[in-house]
Amino acid sequence: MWIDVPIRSVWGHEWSTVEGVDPVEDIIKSMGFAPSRRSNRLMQLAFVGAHSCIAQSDGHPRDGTGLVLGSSHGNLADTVRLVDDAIERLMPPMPFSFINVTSNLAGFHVANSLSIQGGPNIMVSRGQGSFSAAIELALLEPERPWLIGICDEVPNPPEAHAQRLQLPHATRLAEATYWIWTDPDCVSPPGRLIYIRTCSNNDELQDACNEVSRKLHNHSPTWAAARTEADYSELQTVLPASLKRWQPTAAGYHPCISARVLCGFLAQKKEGSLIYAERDHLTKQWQVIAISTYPSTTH
Amino acid sequence: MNHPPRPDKIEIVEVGYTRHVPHHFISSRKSDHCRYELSLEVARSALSQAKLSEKQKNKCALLIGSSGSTLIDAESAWLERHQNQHFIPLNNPQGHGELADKIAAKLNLFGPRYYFGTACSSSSNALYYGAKLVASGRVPAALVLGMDWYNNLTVRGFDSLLLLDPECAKPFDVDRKGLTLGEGVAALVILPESSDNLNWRLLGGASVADHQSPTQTTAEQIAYVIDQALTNSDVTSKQITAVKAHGTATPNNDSAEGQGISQVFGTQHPPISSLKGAFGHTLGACGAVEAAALMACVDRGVWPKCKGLENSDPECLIKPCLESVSLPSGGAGKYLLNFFGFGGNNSALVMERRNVD
Repeated sequence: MWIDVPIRSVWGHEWSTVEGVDPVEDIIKSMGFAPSRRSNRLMQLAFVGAHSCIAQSDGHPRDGTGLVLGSSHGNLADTVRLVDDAIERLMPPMPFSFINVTSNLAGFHVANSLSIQGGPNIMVSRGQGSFSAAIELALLEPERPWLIGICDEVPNPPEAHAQRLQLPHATRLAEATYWIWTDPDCVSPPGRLIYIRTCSNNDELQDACNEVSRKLHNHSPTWAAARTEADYSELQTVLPASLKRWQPTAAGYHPCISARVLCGFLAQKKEGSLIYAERDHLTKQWQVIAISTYPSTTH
Repeated sequence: MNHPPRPDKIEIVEVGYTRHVPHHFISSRKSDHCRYELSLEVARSALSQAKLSEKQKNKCALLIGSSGSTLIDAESAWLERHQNQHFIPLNNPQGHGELADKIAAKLNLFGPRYYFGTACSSSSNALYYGAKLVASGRVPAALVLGMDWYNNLTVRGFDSLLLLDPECAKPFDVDRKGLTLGEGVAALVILPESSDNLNWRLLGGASVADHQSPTQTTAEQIAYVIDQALTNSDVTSKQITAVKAHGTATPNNDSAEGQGISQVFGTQHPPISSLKGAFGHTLGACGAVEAAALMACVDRGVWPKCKGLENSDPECLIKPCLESVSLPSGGAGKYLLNFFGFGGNNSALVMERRNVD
């Protein structure tokens, strides 16, 4: 599907859990805020990401701006602790900290601190594809500005979380928060979402890549990226050889790889366009997203 | 360490910090496996009724609304295996998305999957965005599944919020004390506008977050989301046949909702009922469960009474139905459904029944 959604600003950050540093609260303080008394990890990650994203632009989200937060394992640390308390010690959870009510409190605190009113606040998950899921939902109301974020935390012990993620024991894990602010009224955006499509097979993947190339006319795609090495090898077979591979710096493994790739490309102000593809772990279909930093995509 | 036995039935207990836990709708506990199988059975039944072609089913989207997600499985695993040194709690590689993965795999659904975690408005939002997804043409159909099952953490969590009525929920009643927890699953299949012979249409709705308070929305915010839902559906308040209130029976929420409805409809409002006195509060599932239940009632020409209500609270400014109401014209009409969740998550849907059968 060909789209043209201006991205007003972008911000993202990730850090490895092996560094032994817990920077989130410090970042919040350095931004001039005091961490909320009842905030958990997911809320803090969302707060840092959303505020930093908006700070990249001169403006402020207008009323009616939607907020959609994707997360694969958000609130996991709290939930593990609370289930342990409930079952092992017959202790009640603290009010507002149990998962039934906390999932969208992260978005609430972001919107509350930004004084945004009148828009939706959605928490969505599709495991590794949560950022794509969040973008897809936002595109259902393209007339609305959106803060689209993804956050994922690493509960302790990291080794157990690596096992949970079915990764080798010694995998270096990372926490992440990535955000984009889309705004249909933004006149000279630093980037645009230009294409999104689900492809059932490699023929459709090729067709999607050709479609992006045709639409860009003189501005052919210049960069390509994929979720995994295996995905990239397949992607290469359907892409022009002239494309450069985009590989942003990684602090470690986290499920938000699509956000790292897309936000990293925009944040580093790369000139050109990027085709990103990832295979859905369940259906094996391709999800293709293309972004561009060209001033306009309709040449 | 000795662990308390996992109850076959939720009983009123006085252990540690636990106070009275209402059990009206969470008795007859079956195994978790039964719950999961039941969810699949309900989903299969809905897909079968929708008569999707193989091609449609292949690309059908799955939208799950739930607040507890896989907690029921997590607690079972914890009790069974926690002493195993290799035990990994909440061992879901795909996190919140695990539930949608499992169900999509079992039902052979290859369209996009979404897990909505917006507390008690989860499956209402799933319905709202499911309808938009189908209307956008991206998918030929969407299966919306609302599900929430009994688990210790949820019961103790709501107990800790002091929101549970020790007897039974009495929505909008002057003596209401809080909610009764329920559990359940419901599935609805959304098809394109062009589909033939459909009695029900989801005309539109609104999902508007109140970012002033995470727990206590206001009458003005509720009136706003209802207004938005009516506007987006191209329907006026005078065209609404009846209103399904969220009506949790908590003192503050009911008064805010009643006053909000009153702002839109005035004192001469259409029939209003909450289903929480009948089903309990099924939390993230209530959007789908209550929509499906209401459709079944209206299909039979009945608007259900507001069970649990005896004396309307004058502070709520509305008078919900003390008795069921017979609907003329086989129930044909437009219906407003309210759903609200923690985190200021307010949503409203407008549904229409047409007599095509």
